[in-house]
Amino acid sequence: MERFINVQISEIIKGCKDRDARSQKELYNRFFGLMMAICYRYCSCRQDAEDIVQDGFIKVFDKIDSFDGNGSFEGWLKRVFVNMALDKIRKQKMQFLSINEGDNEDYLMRSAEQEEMEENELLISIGRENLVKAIQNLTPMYRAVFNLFVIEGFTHAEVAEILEVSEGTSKSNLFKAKKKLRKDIKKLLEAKYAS
Amino acid sequence: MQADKNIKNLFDGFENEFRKGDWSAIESKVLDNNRRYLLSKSKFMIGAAFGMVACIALGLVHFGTTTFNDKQQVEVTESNVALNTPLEESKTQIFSVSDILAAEEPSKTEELSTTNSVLHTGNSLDIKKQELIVLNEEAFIPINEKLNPQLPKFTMHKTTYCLGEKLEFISDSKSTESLSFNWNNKRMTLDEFKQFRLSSAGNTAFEVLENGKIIQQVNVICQAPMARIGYKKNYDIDNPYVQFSAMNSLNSADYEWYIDGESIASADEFEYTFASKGMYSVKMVVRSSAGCKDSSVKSVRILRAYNLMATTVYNPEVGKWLPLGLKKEGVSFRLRIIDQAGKTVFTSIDLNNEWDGSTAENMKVSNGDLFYWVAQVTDVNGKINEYGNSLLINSELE
Repeated sequence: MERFINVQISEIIKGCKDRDARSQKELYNRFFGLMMAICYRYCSCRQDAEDIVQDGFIKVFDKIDSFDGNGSFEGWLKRVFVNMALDKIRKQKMQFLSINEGDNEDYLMRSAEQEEMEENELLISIGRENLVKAIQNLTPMYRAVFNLFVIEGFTHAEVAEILEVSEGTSKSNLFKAKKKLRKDIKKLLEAKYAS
Repeated sequence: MQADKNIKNLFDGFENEFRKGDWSAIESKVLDNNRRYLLSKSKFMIGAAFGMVACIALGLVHFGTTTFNDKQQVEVTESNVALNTPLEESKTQIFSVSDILAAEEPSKTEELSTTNSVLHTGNSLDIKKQELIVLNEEAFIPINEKLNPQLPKFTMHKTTYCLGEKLEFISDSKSTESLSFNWNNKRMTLDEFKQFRLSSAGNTAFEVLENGKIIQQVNVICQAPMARIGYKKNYDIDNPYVQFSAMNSLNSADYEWYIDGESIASADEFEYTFASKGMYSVKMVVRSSAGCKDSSVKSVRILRAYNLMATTVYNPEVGKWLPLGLKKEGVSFRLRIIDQAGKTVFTSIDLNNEWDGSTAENMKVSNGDLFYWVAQVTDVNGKINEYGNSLLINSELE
């Protein structure tokens, strides 16, 4: 009987490469929460996120031979799942992408400092749970740009490449995403204090 | 942007909010894929092996007639047959092998005869037969039984779990259908038990039943650490700091503190001096002894940062001068006093070396002279900050 307590991730990866079901299950158990947390941010509901995660793990087990051990395995895993989530968004792209490419300059002229202050104030009050709800209420493209830029830490140039849009579109989408988030969070807070 | 950083930090530890996934939902697909993968791999291996065998066979045909002795080849073949044949069928083969052994390896036959003579009496050939059969029986113990001794019917993989985690156990496949479990006066089937998740911290006991009869009691511990940040402000001018603590956290054994994503401390409490005004994100990650994790983030707005409180007017006849804030323990500094011509009249890196109003040329300053001071301070966090202001000499100041 094989025990996985304190088993190094490298051994689990090796087991997965040998198609050992127990190693695959252990990998799944170890990373399910983290991958759900990532996919959940890109989806509008938990069920969609779960579907992506399930498909993602099947893909990971199929493609694990392509992980050559260079770099972080968790990083590789995250890329697979972010790509899975984005694939879904790309398929829906035409349905929600309605951005005027030229209108981003005005947004960028606004006081970044003032917006940051506002965001910080709101963040303090809202907490993670409500923030997730607010992010899930964004359109898929706004959500993708927000996640990639703010949480995954990509630059606008990288976001643009990933989502196959222009850099200007990425910037204006982020601006609009944040604007909508602020609005939604304020509403949530008003409702909370009213009750 | 700080706000972006705060949002990012807010999502650290988010994974804890998700329970473990349902492996059974993808298990069959994964196993199918594994089978397909291994099959395709084995086909490739068989193909490769076949190719190799064919090459070797061709080589043997070429070299065999001149290199090997025919009799030796026959003996090898017979031995192989004996080892791979079921017991009853192999007996005859064994005799043929033993005959060969007796004929060609007298020392081995002698050894067997010696053993048999101690254990048995009678016809030596019969004893030899019996001994060989016994040896052969041992050789036919199924290999799985040799490698895997009888597993217990039910074994917990581990006994300490995190909140929401499924139980991990191994059960003997032959008895799974007859297994059931008692928990909290409720009966669970094996399938229900597989889906069971610990939902509250503490000790939990299960009874394992086989065919309705209790065969085992299992105790597991569920750990659910809870991160709660506590803080206390200290407003001393000489020593302003915030003391952060995990004192309200529950079930925690290890602590990690981060300020704006930078690891700061690993104790249950620490003091921190914020060197400049602004918004900071303070995050604490706690872990239980079993590694269960929880985290909490607190945003801190610093309205008045650590700075050097210093008088702007100074009378050398009353005493010496040094900015007050430099007196904080653990702070190193470099102070310069500059006259209006831009010339440095005094420098100090030592708290005991305070300015007495004299210049580098041992000249005393005069009433109404204006100076500037600049201090580069390395704070308790190792950050270098620069402060400065004007300083007016006023001999009327008491």
